[in-house]
Amino acid sequence: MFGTKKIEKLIKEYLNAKKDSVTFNPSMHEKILSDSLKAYEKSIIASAGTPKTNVLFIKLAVAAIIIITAGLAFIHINKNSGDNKDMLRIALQQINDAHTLSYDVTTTNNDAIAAKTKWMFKKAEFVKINSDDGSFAIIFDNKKNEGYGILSQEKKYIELQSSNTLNITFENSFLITRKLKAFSVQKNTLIGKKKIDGKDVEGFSLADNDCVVNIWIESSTAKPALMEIEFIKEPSMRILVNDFNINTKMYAVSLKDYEKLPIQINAESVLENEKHINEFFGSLIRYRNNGGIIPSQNNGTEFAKIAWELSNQNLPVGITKYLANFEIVCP
Amino acid sequence: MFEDKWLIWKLKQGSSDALCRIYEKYKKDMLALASALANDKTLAEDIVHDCFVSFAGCCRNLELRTSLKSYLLTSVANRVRNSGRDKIKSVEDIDEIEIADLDFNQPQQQVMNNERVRKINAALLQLPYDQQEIVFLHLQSGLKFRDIAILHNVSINTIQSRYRYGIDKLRTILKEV
Repeated sequence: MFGTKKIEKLIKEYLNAKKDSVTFNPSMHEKILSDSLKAYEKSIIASAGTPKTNVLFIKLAVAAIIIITAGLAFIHINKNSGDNKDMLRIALQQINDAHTLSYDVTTTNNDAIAAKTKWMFKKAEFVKINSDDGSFAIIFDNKKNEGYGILSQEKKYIELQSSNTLNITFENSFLITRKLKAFSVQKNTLIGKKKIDGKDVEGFSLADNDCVVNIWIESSTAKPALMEIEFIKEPSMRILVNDFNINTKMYAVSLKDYEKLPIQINAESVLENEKHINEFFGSLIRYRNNGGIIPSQNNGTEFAKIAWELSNQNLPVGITKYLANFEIVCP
Repeated sequence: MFEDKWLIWKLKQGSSDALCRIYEKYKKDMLALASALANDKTLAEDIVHDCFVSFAGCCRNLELRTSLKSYLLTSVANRVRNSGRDKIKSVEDIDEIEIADLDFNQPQQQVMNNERVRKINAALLQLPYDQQEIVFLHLQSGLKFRDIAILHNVSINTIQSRYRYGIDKLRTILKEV
């Protein structure tokens, strides 16, 4: 005959053994994660678009009736402007509230693609930039104010350092967020509706002293779909920003088994904006495509060639320490 | 517990990493409970899917009265009940279940153990669903009676009674094991 304690122990052992033996079907595991992230993102969008109610609701409703009456007259005169501002406000709010954000940046020169990169931000912590072919990447840690330039094919990396605090986060830096913020406060023009990848989008345009920016926002989710940036002083140059993803998972990168190259690059200048970083990647890719070899630690001449390639693009070279011991021979 | 509070806070700030972490942390508990209550692996996975997706959709407005674990596991139990599986009983395939503490070196003991596992499983299936659910939530998932009571909206005495009746019944059924 069992006592209560013994029967509890027996059942507990049985249930724990059973628990250890359960496993998910791998495809179901992926589906749960992916559907949950979608539901989560949807809830964020919904909450961004829904004003919060509070206990003063009834009192405010009375006031609202008066305001609405006055507002109707204004809307009648200035039709559509309210909706547009809302859409831009929600788009900006989604980006500001995001924990992670990623987008693709394509630089074109006379409509030919010069370079394409994928940008991934983890709020206030990291930024990671990948070249389109996956062979180059930059990771910058905002807390440590340092980062790495990673050469995936060669399994090598370069240190990026800055003497100043860069704080490269999507909330306070870089072209995309700055321009989007400008849209929310400056007068912009509605340029129409169209479809991008089968989704209905609405376009807005904003011009300042440097460039003209068009932004296309998905009507159903108020998520940015495409930004087109044209530079007034460089009419042949365009930047396209698309494939925005909010709150997708970012994966850690391990530099184990990678060789550290004795070269340092000034992160402050290279990471100034999307245009610079695309040029930086572009010059590295061109260097390799033209037969250049990413050097090992002992090849000062090849380092010098890279420096020459970068300086040809008017990019900051910042090669220090190691190269100071070599005679730089420019090709 | 502190980690869960932190994760909930992060979720409300819009952190999808926190959502992934919660899933990784509790997926096994959720699936184990759903499998035990539903007696159907595919249905159990579907239930965990529905529960977690629903949680993801509403977590930013969630005000927890108990622990996160209690909330998730009680959601699983409620969904099993809603699926109608509480009314279906079946004898489960036990080939892959072992009780960890027992010695399997002797073939004869292996046979005896399998027999014992089969009887325990059959005994659990004979419990009314209300009792089975409390036994699983308390013994397998480690939830406190107080938390189960809050989430079921009944008194702690009711939960403790259901548990006691369940254990008494198991003791009667298993007296010869």
